[in-house]
Amino acid sequence: MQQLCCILAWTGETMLGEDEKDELFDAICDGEREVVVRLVKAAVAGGENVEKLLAEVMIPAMAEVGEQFSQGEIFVPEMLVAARAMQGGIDIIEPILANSNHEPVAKVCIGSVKGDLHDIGKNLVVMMLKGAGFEVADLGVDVPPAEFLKAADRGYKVVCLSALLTTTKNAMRDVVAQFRAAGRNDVRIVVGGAVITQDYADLIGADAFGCDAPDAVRAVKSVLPLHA
Amino acid sequence: VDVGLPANEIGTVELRSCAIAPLLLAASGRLGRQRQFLRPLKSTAAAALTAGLSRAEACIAALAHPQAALLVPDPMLPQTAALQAEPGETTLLGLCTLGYDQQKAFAWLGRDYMEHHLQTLLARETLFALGREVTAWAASHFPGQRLRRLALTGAADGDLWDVDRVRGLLALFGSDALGVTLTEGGCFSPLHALLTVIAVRPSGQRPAR
Repeated sequence: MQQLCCILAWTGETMLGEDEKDELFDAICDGEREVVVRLVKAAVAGGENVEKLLAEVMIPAMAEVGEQFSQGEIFVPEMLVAARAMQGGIDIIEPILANSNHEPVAKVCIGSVKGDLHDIGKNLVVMMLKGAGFEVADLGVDVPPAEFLKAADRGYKVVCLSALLTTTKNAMRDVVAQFRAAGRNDVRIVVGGAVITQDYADLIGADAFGCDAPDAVRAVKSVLPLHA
Repeated sequence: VDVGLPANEIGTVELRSCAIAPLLLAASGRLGRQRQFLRPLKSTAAAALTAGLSRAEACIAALAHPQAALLVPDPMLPQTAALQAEPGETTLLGLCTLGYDQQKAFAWLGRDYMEHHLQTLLARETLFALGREVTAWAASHFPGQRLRRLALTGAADGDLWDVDRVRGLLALFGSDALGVTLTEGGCFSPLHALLTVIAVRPSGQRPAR
């Protein structure tokens, strides 16, 4: 270890100190992508355990952003900028994690249901789920139930459904029914969207409901066995 | 004097292509004045947001082909008769679209979620600006008269959108209908499209109580 530190000191690279980790946390919250990229690059060059950095600094920063949004302290554009800054760091870390035995928190697929072309809410959830460490497959809009089933066959254990219209929300019921008919009770279904309520989620037999993007992350976590 | 569209124009669709630049200008101004943007545009997020909004604007400018149509439908048609206009009022239908697909915009933006979100918000404001143009266009046919927009609420419990009615009214614009269609769930395709039902009240006529 001493030898490693000597080598890092010799190359001018060191692991991030607590001040720099605080700076990284703040940079994500404030949406300063360049700062995030610089610090994460420095961390990688300094031999930092990036998995630990992700879990202990970056994901909590995005959780803080979500909390601030839920409390009404920030607006959607600020959350967007923060998520993009976070993504700047993840883009650097991801190839490193891919070469290790790193497992994502969980594999989640998401889409706007059949007949619904709105993607604004779904995309916010995608950003927040990625920021929370999930592997996310974005199936897009107007997604037929069969596509969600295929994603489940590929190992996605949580399916998130989005709908923005009162007239398209019934397509969620079809997806839930098809999963149950196929005996895929191992797959958890989370629903959300402007017209969706907890009562409706209960009515159609969904496993959880998220009222906004940060709450969707909470809802996804709530259906996972580990409460990741 | 009530001018209105001549009777022989009933059922005739007037078409207009609209320039995107003035619509985008109006939309950008309105978006920037929204509370959700006012503070962020003065914070550390300002540079990223400004750059994102510029990309969104460039995307819409590159892809959009705004078009509008105005129609005085035959009042005897079942689709028109079902509208909630009051006695003595003329019903007009306006249809407008930005004429591009959201997925094309996402691809144009390199699947950048933030920029795509901003593009969606800006497109919505751009569509509303186009909708106001359609209303002004309709008003120009009826100088001095009062126009009001009618909502098409659904009959089903909780439905705020009557899909069958919208589909029926869309058909009045002909088989092309500016390329606007409805999904089976009642969602416009392309997404950024508006169908407006306008009631025109003759000068001096009081609204029914």
